[in-house]
Amino acid sequence: MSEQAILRLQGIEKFFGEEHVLKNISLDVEEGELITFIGPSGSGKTTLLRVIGGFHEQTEGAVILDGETIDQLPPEKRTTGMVFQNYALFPHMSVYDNVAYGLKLKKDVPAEERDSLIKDALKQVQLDGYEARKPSELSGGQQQRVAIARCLVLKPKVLLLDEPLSNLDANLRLIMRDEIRRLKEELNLTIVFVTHDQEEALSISDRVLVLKDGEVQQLDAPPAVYQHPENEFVAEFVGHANLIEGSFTGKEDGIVFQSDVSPELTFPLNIGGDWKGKKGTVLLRPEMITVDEDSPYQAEVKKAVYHGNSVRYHVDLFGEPLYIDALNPLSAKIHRRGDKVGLGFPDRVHIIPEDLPVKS
Amino acid sequence: MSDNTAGSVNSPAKKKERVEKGFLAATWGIAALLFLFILAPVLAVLLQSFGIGAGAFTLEHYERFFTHANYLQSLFNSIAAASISTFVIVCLSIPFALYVTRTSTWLSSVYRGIGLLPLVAPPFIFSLSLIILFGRRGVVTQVFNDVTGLEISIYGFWGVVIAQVLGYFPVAYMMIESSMRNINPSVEQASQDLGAGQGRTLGKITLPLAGTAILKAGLIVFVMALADFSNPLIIGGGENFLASDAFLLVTGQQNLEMAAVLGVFLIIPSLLVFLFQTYLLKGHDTATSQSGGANNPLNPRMKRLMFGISTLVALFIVVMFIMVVLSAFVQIIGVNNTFTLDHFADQSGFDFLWNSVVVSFFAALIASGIGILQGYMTARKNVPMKKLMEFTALFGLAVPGTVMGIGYVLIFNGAPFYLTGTIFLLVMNMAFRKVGVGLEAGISKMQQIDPSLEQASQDLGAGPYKTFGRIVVPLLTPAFMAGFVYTFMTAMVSVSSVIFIISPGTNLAAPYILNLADQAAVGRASAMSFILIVIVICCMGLLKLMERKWSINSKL
Repeated sequence: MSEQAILRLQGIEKFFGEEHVLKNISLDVEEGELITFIGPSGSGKTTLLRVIGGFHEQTEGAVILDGETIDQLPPEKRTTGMVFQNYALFPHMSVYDNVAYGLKLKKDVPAEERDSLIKDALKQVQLDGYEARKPSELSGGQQQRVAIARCLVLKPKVLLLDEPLSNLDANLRLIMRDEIRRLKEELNLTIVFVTHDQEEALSISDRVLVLKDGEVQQLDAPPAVYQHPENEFVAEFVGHANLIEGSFTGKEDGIVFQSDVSPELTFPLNIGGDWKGKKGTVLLRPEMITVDEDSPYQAEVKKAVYHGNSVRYHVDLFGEPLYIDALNPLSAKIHRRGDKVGLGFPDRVHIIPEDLPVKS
Repeated sequence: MSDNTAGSVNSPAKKKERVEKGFLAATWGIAALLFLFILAPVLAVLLQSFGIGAGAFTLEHYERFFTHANYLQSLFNSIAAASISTFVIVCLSIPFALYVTRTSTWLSSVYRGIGLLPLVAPPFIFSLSLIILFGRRGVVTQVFNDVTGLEISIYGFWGVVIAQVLGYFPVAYMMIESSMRNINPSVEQASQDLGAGQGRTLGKITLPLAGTAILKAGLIVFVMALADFSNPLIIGGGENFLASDAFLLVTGQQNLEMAAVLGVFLIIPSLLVFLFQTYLLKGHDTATSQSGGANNPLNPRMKRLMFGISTLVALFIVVMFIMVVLSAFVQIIGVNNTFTLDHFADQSGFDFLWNSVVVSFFAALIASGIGILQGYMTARKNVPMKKLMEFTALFGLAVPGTVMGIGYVLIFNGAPFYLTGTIFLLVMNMAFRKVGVGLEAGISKMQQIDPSLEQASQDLGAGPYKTFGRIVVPLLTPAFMAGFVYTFMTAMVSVSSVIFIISPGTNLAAPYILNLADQAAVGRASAMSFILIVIVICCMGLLKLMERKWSINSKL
C-alpha cells in the first residue's frame, strides 16, 4: 500500500437485499491520479462510485479519504465532488448560482471571497461570460462544464465522475475527454471516473480498474490492461480480441503454439522456454495480425467491414474464426468476401495461462 | 458469478434508510390532521347514524328511513336525477371534446373556455338563471304565458336535472377532453390508412381509447350529482333529495341522527366509486400518449355534426351566464328592466366575499403546502403510513360535502373544540377536502424530478432540510401552483360542506348567495354571483400569469 494514497477502499462489500453487488474491493488511489472504473452494466462500477460519494452505504469495509474514515458520513459531510451522468444542474438557478450553491454552504469561505472563486472556477472550465445563463440555455458540453465547475469551486479531495461523457455526441466527447485530462494536470486533481467505454478508459486514465459482477478483474495502467490482460474477460472487454486456446511445444529453435480447435494452425513464438509443455490462451489483437500475401497462412475472407482508416476482415483459417484489422493505405487492395488473404502472425504474444500445466 | 465467496457476510442485513427527525415529525403531524379533518368527521356520521354518540347502538333510524315515503322518495329522486344528468352530460361531453380537440380554430378555443366556464361559478348558478328564465316571473315564462295562456314551471325534478347537466358538464368534459387530446394521432391515422372511415375510426379506436376516461368521468359526475345539494334546494320546488333533506334535517329540526342516515346513503356510492377508480381503474389510463403533432382532424361532415352539438351546449351555457349578468344590473328582470346598481349595495355581501377570499387563500395555501411536503416524502422518504395517508387525502376528495359538513357539526360543535363558526374551521374544512389534489400534483411532479438533483445538492454540502428548501421546493413550485389554483377556485364557490359550519358573523359568499337565491332575491343573488365570478376569474388569471413565469424559470 502506498504512502501517498489519498483515497483508500478497504474490503468493500455491498448487498442490495440478497444480491451481492460488490465483492471485497480494496483500492488505493494516489493524489493527482485519474483512475477509471470500467465494466459492463451491472458490474458494480457506479455502485462503487456511489459508495465513495456517500449515496450508497457499504455493507462491509471502509472508505478512507485523506486519512479520515468517511464511510459513515452523509454525502454533504464528505469532501468528495460528484459530476452526475445527467449533470443534475439545478434548473431554477443560473450558472452562477449553481456554482455558488455549495460555496454558500461552506462556513469557512468568507462571503467576499465567493465571487472571485466562482469566477475562477468558471474560467477554469472556459465558461466565463455565461454566469447569467440558465442551464436550459446551455449546450450539453456547457452543462457538463458547469457541473464540473460546481464541484471544482469546493476544492474536493477527490472528484467523482459518473459516465460524464455518455450524453455527449462523439466529437464533443473527445473534446471533453481532453478537457478533463487538462484540468486534472493543471489543478493536480484526483479523479475517479466511471465509464463503460473501454477506449475512453484507456485514453484518459492513469490506471484502470476492470470490474465484473462486483469483482475486481484487473487493476493496472492502460497499456498493461490492453496488452497483458489477466484473464479472458478483460481481454475481450478491453479492446477486441482473438483468443485461441492451445498448447506450447518445444522445437530446437524455440516454442511453437498449436491451436486446440484446429490443430493445423501452428506458429512459432519467440518466448521463454518456460511455456514448453503447457497449455494456455493466446491473445491476438486484430491489429497484431498482418496482411501478408506471401504468407503460408492463406485464410478465406468471410466478411469485410470498411472503417475508413482500416478494414476489418472476418476470416477463417483452418476452421479457426479470426478477425483482423488491416490498415488501409491507398496502395492496399480491399479484399471481398470469398477472397483468399495471407496472414502474418507476430512472434511475441500475451498468453493467459491455464491453471494446470499439461503433463508431458 | 453469483457464488457467495465472502463467507463472513452471511446474512445481508438490509439496512433501513434513515428518515430525518423533521420529516418524521411532519409525517405524524400531517397524519393527525388528516385523521381529525377527514376521517373523524366521516366516522362520526357513520356512528351517529347508528345512534352512537347520542345514545346506545340502534337501527331505528335506518328503520325510519325505510318506512317513510319521504326518505325513500329522496333516495329515488337523487339517484334518478343523477343517472339522467350523468347520461346526458357524457353524451354531450364526447362531441364537445371531439370538436375542441380535433379542430384548431379560434372558435374551438373559445368553446373550450365556455365549456370550463361553469367551474368558476357557484354550483347553483344554473338554478339561478333557470329561475330568471323560467321561474314564476321568468322572462320566458311570461312570454309563453302571454302567447299560449299556459303555465310552465321549472321548479321540481326536471329543473334540478337541467341545472345539474349544465353545472357538472365541465367536470366530465375536462376529463374526456384531456384523454382525447392525449391519443396519439398516428393511431387514428393508422386506422384510416387501413381503410376505416372516420365514423368507424371514432367508434373502434378513439372512443375505446378514451373509454377509461369516459367511464371515470361518468362515475365522478354521478357521485357529484347524487350529492348535489344546492340545486334541489333552490329549484327542487320542495321535492325530496338526499343532500338537501339532510341539510334541512340539521338546520331545521336538529335531527342529526336522520341527517347522518341520509349521509350514509350519500357516502356509500361515493366510497364505491372511489375504491373502483383508485384500485381498478388505476393505470388503465393513457393507453397511448401524445407524441407531438396535432390531433387527427375530423372530416367535414363529422365536424359539422360535432360543431352543431357543441354550439348548442355552448350557447346554452353562455345564455345562462348572460341572464345572471343582466339580472344583476336591472331592477327586476322581465318585470322592470330599468338599469340599476341597487343590487350591488350590499355591505354584508361584500364582507362575505372578503371572507371567502381570505378563507380560500389560506385553505389553498395549506392544501397545496401539505400536498407538496407529503408528496415529496411519499416519493423520496421512507416515512411510515405513506399509502394510508395518500388514501385518506384522496378519500377526502371523494366524500360528499354534505356528509363532511354533518361530520364537522358532530365533531367540532361541542367539547372539546367549540370551533363551529370560526374562520379557522372553515379554512381547515376547505383545505382538507382538497388536500388530495395538492398531494397528487406533488407526487407526480416528484416522479419527473431526477433524484440526482437532490444528490448533487447533498454532494455540494447541503443537508436534507436545505436540499428540500432550496432544490425541491423551487422545483415543486408548478405543482404547488396547480394545487393552489384548483383549491382556491373550488373553495371560492363551494357551498355544500361549509354551509353547516358558518355562523352569521363568519358567512361566506357562496352560501350567502345560495340563501339569497333560495329567498328568490334574484337581483341581489345575481349581483353577488357576478362579483364572485369576476373575482375568481381575476385571481385565476393572476395565478396563471405567475405560474407561467415560474414554470419558464424552472424548466430544464
